[in-house]
Amino acid sequence: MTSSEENRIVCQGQFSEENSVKDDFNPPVDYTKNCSGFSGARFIIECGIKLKASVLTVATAATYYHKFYEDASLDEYDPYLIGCTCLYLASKVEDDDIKIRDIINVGINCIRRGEPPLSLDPYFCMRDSLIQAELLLMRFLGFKMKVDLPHKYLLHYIQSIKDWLGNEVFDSVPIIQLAWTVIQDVYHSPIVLKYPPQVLSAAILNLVVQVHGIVVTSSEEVNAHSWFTILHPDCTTKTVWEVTAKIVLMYKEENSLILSV
Amino acid sequence: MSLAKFATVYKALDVETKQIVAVKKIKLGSREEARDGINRTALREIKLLQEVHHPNLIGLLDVFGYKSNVSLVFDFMDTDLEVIIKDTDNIILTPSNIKAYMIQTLKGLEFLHLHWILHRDLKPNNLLVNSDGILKIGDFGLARFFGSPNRQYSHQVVTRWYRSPELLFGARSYGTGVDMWAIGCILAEMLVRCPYFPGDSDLDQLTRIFTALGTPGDDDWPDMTKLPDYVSFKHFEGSPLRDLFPAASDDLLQLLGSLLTINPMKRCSCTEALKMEYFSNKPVPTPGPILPLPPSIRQKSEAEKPSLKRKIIEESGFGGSLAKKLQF
Repeated sequence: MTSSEENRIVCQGQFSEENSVKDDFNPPVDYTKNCSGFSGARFIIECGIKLKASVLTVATAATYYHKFYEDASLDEYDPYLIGCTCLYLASKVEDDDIKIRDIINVGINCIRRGEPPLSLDPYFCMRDSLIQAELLLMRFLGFKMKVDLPHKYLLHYIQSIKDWLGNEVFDSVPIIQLAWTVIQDVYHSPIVLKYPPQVLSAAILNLVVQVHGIVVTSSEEVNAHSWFTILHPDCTTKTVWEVTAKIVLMYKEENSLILSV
Repeated sequence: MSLAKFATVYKALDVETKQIVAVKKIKLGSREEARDGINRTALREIKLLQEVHHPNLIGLLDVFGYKSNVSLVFDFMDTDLEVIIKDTDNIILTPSNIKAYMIQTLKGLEFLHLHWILHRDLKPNNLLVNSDGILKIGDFGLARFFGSPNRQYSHQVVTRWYRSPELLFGARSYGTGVDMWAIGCILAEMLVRCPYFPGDSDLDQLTRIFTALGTPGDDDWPDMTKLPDYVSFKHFEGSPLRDLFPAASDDLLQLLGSLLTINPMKRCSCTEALKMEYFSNKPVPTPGPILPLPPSIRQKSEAEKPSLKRKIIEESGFGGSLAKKLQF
């Protein structure tokens, strides 16, 4: 799911750049043919990366988007206009300086790939729509625009797990890189609204250690108390595995939702 | 009521709670910047004030959208410290009064700083006071989170007269010191009843500061010369605070000296300031309800109260048991 651009995101030097993912794995999505809740979220993530928005801005924007479509329907409101609006509002809330013109141009180019940018009249039309939609979006959000994102919890939990595993085991597999990829991908799905950020982070980290076959605690302990329950009391074994399964499902659904045209 | 740059403020009555509130209506439809949608300043105010709640910080009671406007509903405040300081005809700022305002300001600011928020625009005009003598810090349009080591911040913040030396030298990474310096300027202003460093340019501002307090040397502030807009100044000796404020008590001068320390690293924090002797020594701070107010407000609030009381009694039929609800 992760596109090559996504790997460009480097956080405080901890996350190394990877250019190995080829476009073959990630053919460009034709948004005009795939209009779904999923494709709208993908659109936000793609635009966010192209606009060099911070990971937090994209996550906030995607959260707005999912929140909006909890109450609204895709037939009533165009997901791509709403997607651009979410990015624009999130960039302001997160103090990420992104120009409205760039958002419109990048957004349009993702939908009509390779075509020249909008001429003045349709551009200003689009801009006015975006501003109108921003007001609508804020009302849908009930003006609660600050999102408690899982990213800071994830960093914290990774630090804990590093202490538990020891440097040798921890450094043997790319835990940080994979976790950082998954936390960005997970915003394709509205599950980000359903669970508190602590649980999301624990589930992401659980998925990562499972994928790498790393055992955090000895097997006898697993059934009674999972290691993640120590991180936060809400992270019960049942909930975290439930969320982990949903994330895996999200990756499985990707093909049917977006690529099989 | 008042006209901010991008908003109009109205006084309003909440018909459900009977509470008088201030409604700040942000214009989106009229000017050039409407093309950029909701104002970043307003967004900051909404975002930060939804998260912080303290008796000495202005309360954001609600946000609502109507037509193409967004309105913010705040606690209603009768006046501000600028009006009180300027009203030399009617108001005497006794040491007790000054202490009452200082305690409230520092408590509000301490809360902000403990939550990693810098106000960045402290001035008497933004310290709002209601008729109960409660002071609340208002206008969070420039406030933002601090603490990220890799973030650069604008140095063009804070109204010039209250701007600290490190900002005037163009510092891009700064901390709570910028707010503390402003508090020092406000304290000095309460003592002398006019702005203490009213510079008319950034250089003039620094000149005024150094003339009064002395030009800092390498020992006082070793890293000063590395600041982006550093310029070397003529050496001023400066005067002891005792000579600058002959009427002030020693414990107050200790606080003032700590707030107006030129090196930001040596300036005190809110928590340190509140622990200083000044706040435990006599005289005790004036209790809120008997703090002096401009006469127009005192009269107005007295004229309003009985009529409002009558109205509530008529509507609710509760009779006299409602007295408690009438504290605005």
